[in-house]
Amino acid sequence: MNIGTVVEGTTDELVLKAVIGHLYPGQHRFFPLQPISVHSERGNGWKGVRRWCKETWQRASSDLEKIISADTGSPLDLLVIMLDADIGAERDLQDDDLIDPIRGVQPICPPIAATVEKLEQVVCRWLQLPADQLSAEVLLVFPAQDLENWTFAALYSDDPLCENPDYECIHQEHDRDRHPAYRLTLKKYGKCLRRRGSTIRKSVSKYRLLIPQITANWSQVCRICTQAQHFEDDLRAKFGDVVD
Amino acid sequence: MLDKISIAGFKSLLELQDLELGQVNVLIGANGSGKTSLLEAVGVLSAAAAGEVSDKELSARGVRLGTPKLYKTSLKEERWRTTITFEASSAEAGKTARYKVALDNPIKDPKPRWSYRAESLWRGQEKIVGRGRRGERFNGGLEQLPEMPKLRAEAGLVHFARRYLDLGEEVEDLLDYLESYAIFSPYTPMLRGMAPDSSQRDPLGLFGGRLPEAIEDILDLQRGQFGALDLDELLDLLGWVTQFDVTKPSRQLLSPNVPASQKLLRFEDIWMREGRNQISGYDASEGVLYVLFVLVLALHPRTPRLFAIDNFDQAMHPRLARAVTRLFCRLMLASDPPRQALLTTHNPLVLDGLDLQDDRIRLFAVERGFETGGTTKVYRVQVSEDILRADQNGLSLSNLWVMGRLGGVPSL
Repeated sequence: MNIGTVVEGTTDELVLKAVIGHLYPGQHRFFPLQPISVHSERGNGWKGVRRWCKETWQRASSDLEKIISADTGSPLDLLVIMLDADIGAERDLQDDDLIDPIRGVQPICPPIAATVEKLEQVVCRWLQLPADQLSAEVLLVFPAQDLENWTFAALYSDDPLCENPDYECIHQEHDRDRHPAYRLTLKKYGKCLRRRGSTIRKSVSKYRLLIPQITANWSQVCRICTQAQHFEDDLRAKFGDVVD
Repeated sequence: MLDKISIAGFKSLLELQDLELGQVNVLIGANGSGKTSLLEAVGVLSAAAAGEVSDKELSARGVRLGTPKLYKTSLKEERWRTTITFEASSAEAGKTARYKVALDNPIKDPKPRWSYRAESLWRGQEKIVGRGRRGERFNGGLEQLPEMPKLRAEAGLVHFARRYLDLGEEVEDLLDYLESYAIFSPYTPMLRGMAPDSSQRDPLGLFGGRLPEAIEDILDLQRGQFGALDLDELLDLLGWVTQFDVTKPSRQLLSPNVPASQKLLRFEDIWMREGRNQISGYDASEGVLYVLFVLVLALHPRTPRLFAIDNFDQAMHPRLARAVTRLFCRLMLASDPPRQALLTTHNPLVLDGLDLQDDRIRLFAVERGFETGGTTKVYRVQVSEDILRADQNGLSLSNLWVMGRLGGVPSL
């Protein structure tokens, strides 16, 4: 399969490739897509994803359909746009007057589904497309609250934290000590990630070492994280049964 | 001209099947993706066709010297391969030719020359020369030669047979292309004539040595020609140069403490005062030297029929690189006899100089990563005409590459 990815960072890219490769073994070709123009925003991060989405309609000849089609290269079988659900807390999800501002998309959580539903609307607005007009090839993925929830669930599925019904709603700013990404910086949890002040740093080379565990325990991740299960279900709906 | 190449078991090129080449072939990809390895694989194939795969022969083709441990693919998740296999074919006017070789050298205690495990040469569907476990095989009567020697495993059979057999025009042509191959990697000190080029070659050293001599061969100031190129067109491209020629080193141009080769490039600067406006290749902008280097390769009558330039756009401003790419392609397509080039670049604007609507010009994305298990994959890039022609709202090839849509990008 030819798979385009629009993600916040390189570790997201890495996990996405590994999970898709795990569920659908075979020779896949990935196209890590990024905005052409970065202006004052960084190419990565959720703002980079937003800029990429906006660029699709800002140029007349580069709408989403064309990006997916053979017009612009090898046709894509799948385009994954992945964003951490924690961006729901951001106050500037919309950065212009073209779209009605949406502020505070974090509704009651749990369940995470309500937040994700709002975020889907946000991304569709970035793309200037109604949700029901998204191409069949496009898949929106929202690890909640972020990708480290999946990673933690894969590495420590027996940890009591994973049994919490609000596991996917633990937000870094509100509940740092229970936040899976924070825990992964602790010695007790293998110090998989580094922490400098309040910032958690991820290194691709270290994350790469975690990939075999993430894929091997993917079923546990899906059991614990509804959004992981949602992702797998969406893939199955598009490409048939996964390989177990 | 080479039509297809296949490589198996060389460095990260675990299995590259039937890569279909054009006349000008541009490779893009992340650092470490395997672009240079692909150029080098053709270099090993070239040495094999020329009869000997040794450090001397590889070095003469610009291949970085390495041990069998480095040349043979050794990826964590792939089984160990004992031989490296290469194949090249040509197809012109309905006539096809194919050369295939499998090479080996022990990892422990490597030998100075690689051994031919198998070698074959085909004209159309007919195998005219072959060697394998069952010994050597010829069609055409070579076995009748009374002085036919027993060839060592390190000596190429096809190269030997070429001396005695009438192989046919299409086969000779394929072997000419293969044997001539060299990888050029210009390097500023050699282009400036400050350092000797360890890989001397006619008409140009692989690192840029002998540039003044090669320029002298094709520069005709009286007729205003640089090979087949109008000199004015070249000067327009260079911008600040009103004239250039080749001269002997003199104290007027060079400090006596600067090492100089026998011949020196001399440029006249458009902005400098008359009488003080001449500068040498030692002082000139390096971009000019790189432009002249690639154009000499496109224009010189003794340029190899098949060659590669690693980092084609080196030291050039992006817009200059785009213009040079356009010009280089135009000259290559008009070259007589026809020549074929493989180029690597990291400059997006080089892509905008490529007319991909012309099937003779081809772009390839070279990729290697987590999803490929570390093996190098090569994909031809094809983009619709509409997209490329869509005015200011269109997506240029450079845009598409930077966006990631063409592949050949790192995950950064």
